[in-house]
Amino acid sequence: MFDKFFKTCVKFSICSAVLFFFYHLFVSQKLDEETSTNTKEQE
Amino acid sequence: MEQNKDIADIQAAEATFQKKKKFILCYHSFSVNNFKKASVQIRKLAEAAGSPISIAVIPAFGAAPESEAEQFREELEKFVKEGYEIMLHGARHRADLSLKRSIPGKIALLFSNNEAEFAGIDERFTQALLKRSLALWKAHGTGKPSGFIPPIWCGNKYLKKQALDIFDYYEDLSGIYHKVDGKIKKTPSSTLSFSILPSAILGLAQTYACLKMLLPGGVHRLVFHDKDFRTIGEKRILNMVRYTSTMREKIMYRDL
Repeated sequence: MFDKFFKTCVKFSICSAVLFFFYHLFVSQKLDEETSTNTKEQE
Repeated sequence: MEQNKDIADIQAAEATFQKKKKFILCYHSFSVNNFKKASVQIRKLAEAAGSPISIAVIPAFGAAPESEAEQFREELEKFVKEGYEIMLHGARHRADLSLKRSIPGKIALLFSNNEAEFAGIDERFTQALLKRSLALWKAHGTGKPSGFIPPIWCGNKYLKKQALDIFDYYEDLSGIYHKVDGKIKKTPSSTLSFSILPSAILGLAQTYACLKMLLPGGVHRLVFHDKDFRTIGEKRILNMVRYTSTMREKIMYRDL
């Protein structure tokens, strides 16, 4: 019972970390993309 | 034509959904020492958000010359006239080290580099400091602030009640409080602030802030200080505000 619960927690943590990592990439790109657009406009 | 109507319907549904999620954008520690630079930063934030924002003001003049103090007053008056919301942010923000504090209060001072002005002080001193804060504010002559934000969000067990006796709103790290029919109502709200974080985790903190805004629940507070414009950078901050504004409706404390 405990073993199953532990495995579920580990799987959930790994999935959360992977999703967070991809969202981090997306957000970073989003913020930098806007910045580069602004820079081009300024130029 | 029919397709355009469908797109309009989808956009209207998205707008309605977004309006259910709200956030507060607040600039912290606007004072006589930084008002010239901070005014420009505040106006840029408001422009990115599309409307005036909330400003947490430190009312103490310190040793500033009278000419500076006068310009500070004028700038505050301008903000009030333009529809910005004023919150009081302590009396002088920095803690008076001569006051007696509880052990959690002393720990808060240690972690905040002595900035947690209200941390762990007793009932009498809390009352005195709140009154001093309000008196300093009244010296500016620009109406009554909407609420009170304790420096570093560290208070003591008396502060919430005392602050809500004077102001409409009070907040700590986990929520915003206001009185409804004599009872204190809490609005769940996360504090998304970056100024005391080490630069190594600033990127992750920004992602966390954006994720919090994306997910439903709470009226989160996105907080910026003058320091953030140096550490995170102006463009990234403004982009974060724009991105958040696409996901949530920006409100002020008085709209709660």
